[in-house]
Amino acid sequence: MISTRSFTPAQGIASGVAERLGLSLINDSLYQAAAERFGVPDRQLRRAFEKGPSLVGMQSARRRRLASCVEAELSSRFARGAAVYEGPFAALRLRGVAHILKVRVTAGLAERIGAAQRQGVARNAAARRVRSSDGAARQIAWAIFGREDMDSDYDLVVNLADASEAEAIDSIVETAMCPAYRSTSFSRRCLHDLELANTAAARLACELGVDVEAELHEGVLRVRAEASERRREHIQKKVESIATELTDIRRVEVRVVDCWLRPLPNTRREDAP
Amino acid sequence: MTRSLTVLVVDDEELVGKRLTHVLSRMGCQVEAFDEPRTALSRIQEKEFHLVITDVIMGEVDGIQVLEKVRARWPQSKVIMITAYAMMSMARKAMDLGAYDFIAKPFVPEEIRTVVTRAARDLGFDLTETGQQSE
Repeated sequence: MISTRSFTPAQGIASGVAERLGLSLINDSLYQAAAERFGVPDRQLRRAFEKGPSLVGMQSARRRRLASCVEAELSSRFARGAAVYEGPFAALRLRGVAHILKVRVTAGLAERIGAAQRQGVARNAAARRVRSSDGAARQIAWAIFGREDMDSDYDLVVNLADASEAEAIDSIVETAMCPAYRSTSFSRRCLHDLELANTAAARLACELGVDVEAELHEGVLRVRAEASERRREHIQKKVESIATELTDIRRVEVRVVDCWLRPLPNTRREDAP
Repeated sequence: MTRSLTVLVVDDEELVGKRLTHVLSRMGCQVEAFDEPRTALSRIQEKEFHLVITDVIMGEVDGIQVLEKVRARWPQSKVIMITAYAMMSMARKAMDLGAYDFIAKPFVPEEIRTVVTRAARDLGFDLTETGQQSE
């Protein structure tokens, strides 16, 4: 999975890596596939990941619901076979799957400002644009994933200030071929569990309009939904119904948290640092 | 001429060793199981096994040490790691050190059978669950 920081001139890296590894490339097509699968407009899905929060913009809860559709589709695509994904926040997505290599491609601030200038703005305005873009990405990461998208969470950070595009591709391919990133029974099971949990979360988000976190471990699907207490029974039934349609789920545990009464365990504020 | 796939199992939980022995024997493997990792290391020093299945966390000797020992002494042998405390970093480390596969406990017999069958095939054996095998 490759994430490129905004205004980083790295157009051909992900496709170059995919070509060298003989894998398919997943990029913007992911939004369309998720949109078709869950019946939501792909423009909205894209906005959830790309458009920063604003006073009249998308609310965090809606952003998370839309993101859950994209996450479900992303995990399904990886569960079907190896691929190269190019998109934002790679380190925060499909977490815990040992064979998935997370790469961030970045460049020095001067190069990034230069890239912004090439869009036809003066240097100061270009610098503001880069800062603003970084700030928006930080806020989106907090809104969707409850944490910042940091270099330290990536397996490999390639800085184009130190490497050409061809060298970056070499470095990524070489790392991806390391034995540490071979799939194992454990990592495939993690991906399988993640796919089912993400699918359940996306369906609940779309069909009930509730903010949901789901995880599957050893056949137990644990769902935490934010909703009013009077919806508890309905949500429980819905989770059970979805679980019967998914394989390998032995039991479900549903926890409904009344969002008006209790704070979220994960601080997920649009204005978080 | 046919020969059996030899498997050494080391797990400080005796029950796991017994269950694995049962499953692997039914596949036609010759199994030696140990619940004392030090004894297992001594056995590995003197005999080459086609396959070693080791728990990762076991008291004073851990599965990584078993893996390193096998890789150094018998590079052709394949090592499968099993653990109840599976973590991403642990799996990556084991694979980096040359493990063949990494399996999280609890596992179902089918999961072990699948991995062992694949490892056997890579070693030139053809295993079936009924115990028939050919090389």
